[in-house]
Amino acid sequence: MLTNTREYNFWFVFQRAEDVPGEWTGHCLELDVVSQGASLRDAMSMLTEACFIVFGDDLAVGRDPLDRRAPESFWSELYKICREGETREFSTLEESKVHSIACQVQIKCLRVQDAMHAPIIGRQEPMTPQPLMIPLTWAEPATSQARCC
Amino acid sequence: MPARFSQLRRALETLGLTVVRPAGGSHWKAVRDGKSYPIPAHNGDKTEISETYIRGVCRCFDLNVDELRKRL
Repeated sequence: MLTNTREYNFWFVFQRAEDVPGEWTGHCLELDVVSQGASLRDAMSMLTEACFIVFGDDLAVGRDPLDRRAPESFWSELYKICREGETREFSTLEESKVHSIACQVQIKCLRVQDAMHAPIIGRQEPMTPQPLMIPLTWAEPATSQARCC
Repeated sequence: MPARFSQLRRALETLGLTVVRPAGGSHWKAVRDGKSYPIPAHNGDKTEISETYIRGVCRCFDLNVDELRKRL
């Protein structure tokens, strides 16, 4: 079995849910997936799980999950947070008064290629390789810091 | 305006989506034509789902937000 790994960095934007008191919403811009949680930490966990689901489901049916990219207006909002916000430790933001938080999260994928489906040298009609991307691990935010405002 | 998970699930089903219970985790999934979108249900049927999320699921499946809202 042949394997290699691939890493993706995703931008997550968290905001206090104005219409659901106490809840935070989280938005992964590369996958345009939204989730929410009862705290910032919970929202991070929920959004990570949601991304894992989307990533796995898309790869399972041969769809590129990065085709889901969020509309430009959300990226503009991210740029605004990065430009105008301040850098803080992510772990300190739960109790702070900040409204919007941007941070990057890293996903590592393990690419598995079944040796039975790999091309065989010397064979006249080699079988087409059938790579299968399997999300392997999720990491905490790639940096412990986040931009917030 | 937020919606309860149970309302959202029914509304999505009336719009032709399949809503699937997860094997594990806190999300259900809305599915159509092999494309899925997780639905946060960390408090079960009573989970209050924010407008931000509702707009997200509408973008994913190209649903009209007002049409979905009418069915909530």
